[in-house]
Amino acid sequence: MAVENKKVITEKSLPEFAMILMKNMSFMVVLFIAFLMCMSTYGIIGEGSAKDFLSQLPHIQGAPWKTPVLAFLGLCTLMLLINIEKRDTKTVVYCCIAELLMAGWLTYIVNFSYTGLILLIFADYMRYIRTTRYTYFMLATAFIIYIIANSDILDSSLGLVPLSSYISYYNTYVRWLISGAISLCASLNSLLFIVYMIFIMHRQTVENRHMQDMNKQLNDLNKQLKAANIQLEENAGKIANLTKVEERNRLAREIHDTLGHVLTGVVTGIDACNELITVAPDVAKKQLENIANAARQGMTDVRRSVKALRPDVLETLPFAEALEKMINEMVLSTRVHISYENSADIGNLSEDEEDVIYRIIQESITNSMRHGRATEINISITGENGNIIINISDNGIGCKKIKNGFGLSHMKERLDMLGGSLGVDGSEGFKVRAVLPLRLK
Amino acid sequence: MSKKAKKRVLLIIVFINILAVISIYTDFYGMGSRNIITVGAFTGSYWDVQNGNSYKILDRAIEKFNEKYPDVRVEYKSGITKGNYSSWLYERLLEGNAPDVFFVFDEDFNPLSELGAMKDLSRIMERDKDFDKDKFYSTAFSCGSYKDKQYALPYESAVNLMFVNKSILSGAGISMPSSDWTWEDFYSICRSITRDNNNDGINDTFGVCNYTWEDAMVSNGVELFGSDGSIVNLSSEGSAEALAFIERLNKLNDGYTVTSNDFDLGSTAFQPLMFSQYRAYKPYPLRVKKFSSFEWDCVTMPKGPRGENTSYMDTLLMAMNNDTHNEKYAWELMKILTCDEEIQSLIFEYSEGASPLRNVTDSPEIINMLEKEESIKSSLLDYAMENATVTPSFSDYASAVRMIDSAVNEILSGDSNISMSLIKKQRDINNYIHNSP
Repeated sequence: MAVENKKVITEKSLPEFAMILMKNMSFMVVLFIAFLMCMSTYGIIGEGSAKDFLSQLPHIQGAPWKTPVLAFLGLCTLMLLINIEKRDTKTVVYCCIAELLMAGWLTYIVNFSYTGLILLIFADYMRYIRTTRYTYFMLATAFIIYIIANSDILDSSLGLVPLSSYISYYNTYVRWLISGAISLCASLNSLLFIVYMIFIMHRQTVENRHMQDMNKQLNDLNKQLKAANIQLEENAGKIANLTKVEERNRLAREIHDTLGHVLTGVVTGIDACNELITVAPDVAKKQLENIANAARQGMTDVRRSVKALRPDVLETLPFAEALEKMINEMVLSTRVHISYENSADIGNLSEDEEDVIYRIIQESITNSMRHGRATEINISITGENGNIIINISDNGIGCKKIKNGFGLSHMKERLDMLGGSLGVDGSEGFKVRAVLPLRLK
Repeated sequence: MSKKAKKRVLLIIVFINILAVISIYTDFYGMGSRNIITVGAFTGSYWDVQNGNSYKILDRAIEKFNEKYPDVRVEYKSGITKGNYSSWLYERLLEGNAPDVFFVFDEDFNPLSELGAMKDLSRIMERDKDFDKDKFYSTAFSCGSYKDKQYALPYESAVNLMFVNKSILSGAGISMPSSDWTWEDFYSICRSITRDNNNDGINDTFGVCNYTWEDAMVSNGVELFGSDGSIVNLSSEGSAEALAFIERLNKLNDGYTVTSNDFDLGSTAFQPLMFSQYRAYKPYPLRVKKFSSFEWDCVTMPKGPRGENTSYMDTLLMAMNNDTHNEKYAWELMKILTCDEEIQSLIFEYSEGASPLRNVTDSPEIINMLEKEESIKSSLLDYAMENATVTPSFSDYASAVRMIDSAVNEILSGDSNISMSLIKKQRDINNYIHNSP
């Protein structure tokens, strides 16, 4: 035991050491009192003063040998209960009730001559209580019980025999020694309990303060994060606007460079032809041919410009593969589960149709993730009566009132241009249904 | 070992420990001794009379019990004297191995009831259809009750009777008093007997010795104690009358204190004695030894103006251990010892007391026997038993009586007014009793 204690001192903190001391001391004292009660009773019987002794008792006690045996078994049980590691609340509650009952009973069988076990139990409870308010409550309860147990209120109502009746068998010196030792242990036990409580409460205060600090830090960081998020959204909006402006400028430039140029040529050429047609019809004819060529060239240029607006993958890969690639990239970059099914023949679509389908799917996935916070998205493309039907549904929060800000108007516009239609439903997740009539190439 | 397994082992140990605690605490291991009944008994007679018949009644009762339950062994430790029995019983109780059934002395009954050493028999008596408490003299039966609970059954009783020296009475030409005689009859006999026969200036025959204030109060209907042990009637008129009567009797003796020795020598007419003593000394060998010089008889105690011819009853009781594991057999044995008429009639044969059973004490055979061998008038014993009173049931009865005794002696030896002094004493004693722990 001594070796173990030494190890404990170095390894464990002060409150745990106080707890170990309290446990060992209570064990010894209770067992000692139980033995004392037993031995003095046999002494009294041997001395022949059983009648006088019994006349002091409020009622017959059990066989004297039972007291130390029961005390030993009870103490072992109590110590085991204290040492059981209590992890979940249920174990804590059951063990604490069992401990309280056992300690109360043990205190009863030694006739309340040592009440330190009650403090020991409460010291054990304290380890499992984290809230400061409960700590004070338990502390108050412990002291009330301790004071009641130490008062003489119980003596008469429970019919207890004071220890002094038992030790009156011994001579004055031994009596003095015994009662001195027991009261010393009791005082020491109370002192240890107080030390233990101070340390535990100090530790709890420190822990609480630490927690408060952490909370504050977390709050600050959270605020910062929110601000950054708002900034980011603003920036994103700006970027989108900038992109739009850039795109418009490019289109304007393109129109100006190609169509403007060509149309200017065409207008000028046609004006010239107007003049020439009566004077020199042959020249005019030749001129008209040139104009037609220029217009054709312009047409090619316009086509080239439009092509430049298309996503890159659609240029480089076949449409079906481009779609799969886009979806795979989404899955890889966002961890959203996307199931994709395609039963329609989409290998033979015109570019604008490909564009529309591509953009609808892309926009819907983005919407589901951004606004619907969905984790699962189902995409199916089917062919039906010369129509291509695209169904996209998700498990997100949906949207009770559908606002036309989620790129839906773009989708609708694009589809309208190709004679298709768009249906959306935000009641249970978000569902998009696009119908696109096929043109035969 | 993993933490979970360790916890499980700990829980199993805790469980085993708790089982062990419960089985020890409840005496579970003692349940095995179902077929042995132990009896606490003593040698010698309860009435302080030597006789060689100590265990005869018990042995016969055990025999009778074994006829009914041959598998159950009844054991008792022989050789414990009457003087040691009480402390022996207390020691066994303290040790936790008291016998299942034991005799209880009248004086131990209140403290043992207070200690909870005896089983409350009320429930058992109610359940047992064969048991009829009305078979007992009610006073004897109530000797075994304490605070409305029946803890013991009467085994053997004796009442206080007035011994009469017939020789003195007939010498003075006075006939034997009848059993409903009064204080005045008693006083006038005493007065006429107290005289100086040889003219030496000193009285040589006396009226009575050892007649106490208790005898006077009981026969004047005074109930001194309340149920909680406080003295309620010490200052009543009945008490004052009783003390005044004692004072009158004492005055007859001119300051001489008459002792029982005077009665033994044949110079005193009356002395209250237990019925058991009468029976002990009446038969031939002992009578020669003690009272050879005169003829003697016994009669009931004289009654006061407010009372009856009542006297105290002393009863040897039989109780069951509160912790017995053999309640059924213990009760059967108790019943045989206390309620069986054959066993109870043996009391008149082997002991000096009287049976607390009406049918036995009042049976023609017993009356016949008593009349023939001991010349006790037929109805006297039955009458005395029927009209006896019982000592009150609270644990400090003995010390309360001691206190009243010294108070009464103080009053009688002083000159002050008896009623006034009694009021003061009652207050003093009650204060003392209520303030003591």
